Amino acid sequence: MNSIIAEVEKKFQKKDKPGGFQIGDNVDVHVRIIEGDKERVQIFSGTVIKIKGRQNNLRSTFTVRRIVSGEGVERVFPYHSPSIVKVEVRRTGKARRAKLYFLRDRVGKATKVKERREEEGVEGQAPALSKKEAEAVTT
Amino acid sequence: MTTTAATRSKRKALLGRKIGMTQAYREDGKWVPITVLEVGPCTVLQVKTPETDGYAAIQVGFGETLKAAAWPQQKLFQKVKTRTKKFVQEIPPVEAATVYRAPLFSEVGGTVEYLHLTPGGNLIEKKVPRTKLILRAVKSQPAAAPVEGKESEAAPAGGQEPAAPQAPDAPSAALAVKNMSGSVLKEYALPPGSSIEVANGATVADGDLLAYVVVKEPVAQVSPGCQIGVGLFTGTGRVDVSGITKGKGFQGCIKRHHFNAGPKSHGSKNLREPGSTGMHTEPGRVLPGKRMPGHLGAAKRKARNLKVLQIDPEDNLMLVTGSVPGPNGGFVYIEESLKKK
Repeated sequence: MNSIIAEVEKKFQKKDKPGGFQIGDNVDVHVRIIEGDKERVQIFSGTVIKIKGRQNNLRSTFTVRRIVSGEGVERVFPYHSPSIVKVEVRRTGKARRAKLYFLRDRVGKATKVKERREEEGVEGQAPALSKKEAEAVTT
Repeated sequence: MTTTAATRSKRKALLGRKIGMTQAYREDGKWVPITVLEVGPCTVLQVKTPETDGYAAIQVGFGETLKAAAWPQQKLFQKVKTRTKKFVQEIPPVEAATVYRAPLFSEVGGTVEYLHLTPGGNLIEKKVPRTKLILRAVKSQPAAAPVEGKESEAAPAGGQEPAAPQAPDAPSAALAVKNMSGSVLKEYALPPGSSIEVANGATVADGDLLAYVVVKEPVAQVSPGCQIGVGLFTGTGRVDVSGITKGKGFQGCIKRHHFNAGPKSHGSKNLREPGSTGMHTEPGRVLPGKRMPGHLGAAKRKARNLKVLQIDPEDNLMLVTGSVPGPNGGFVYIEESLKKK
């Protein structure tokens, strides 16, 4: 890429971009919404089924899937979007794939991703938990 | 260099280059496609006045090349002591407050184009690709950051004294190569007592200016040799950008005039044909202006009312929404929009 364009893109990158979640995690995404002249924060909670691109890339996104009244809803969030306030991890998930597209074919209880625990991390291929996540699991 | 309507208008205008396209976020979190333009600095080559030329305009040049221009133009460049400019156009007169004087490359370093770092048998050849690239030999303590801040660009011209006072008995030296946004591209540590040799044989001591540094000095009057940067467009909401579109060669009616293609099957022999070109014996000829295959592209086109997202006077960058004509690196003419503000 042209170095000047890279410099320009760097300026648009968020310094406090959301992070700390992995594929399969159940997250709450806090999105800033502007209605007329009012501004409020909406929460979209679901499972992270896709993380696209590196986070230092301006165009990187993550996809969150949830079931709303029996219908699957997926929302794509750009990491660097100014409208994303924060992302909270509700429940860590154990995933052996980088993209959890198979969840789209599942209904009901089968859509649940197994919870990621430290012991399972050793036997499975799930990455070891960071300190923060370990706390989240125990609490 | 012709007198166009644009030159007679009072719209702010400047020359530039299309860097390329990318995306950016608006404040409300929405994506917008943007084009990055390098706008100026343009060197004033000639100031035309109603008294001498019948109209008021400023002839400016943009884009340096080492090649010689045609003789009449070459004399013009020599007069203002500048390199040959690839893109020369006339713009409407501007106020002197928006113009500044910067030491021209030829005034500062002349032929400093290749640098050889000889000490320690460490021969490095570095071409200076952009006039904005700052090459500076900086004396420093080993632990201290040897990089000069952006403030150094406001140092007095002439080039023999760096802005930051350096200890004369500093144990080691370093050469910092910075890019236009001030971040260090590469740093060369030099052994104590070393010197930097320039390709033309001259020896440069520590702290000497090695290449072009943008120093903006205000001027009272617009005169040849002055520079106009993107700061001219401060406060401008929308711009028109014109350039030469990419050449497409000889194209058919479908690509060139958006004709509809014929059916692909059922024995059709009319897939991409232009169809009928007219009537019968009356009038017995093809009417002028009939749209037909032919050469497409490589023509001057103007993208109008592009919103200016950002202006960066330091780096002479302008971010506009949407696309502009021409390839990346192509020259463009940027002017204030007429229709929308």
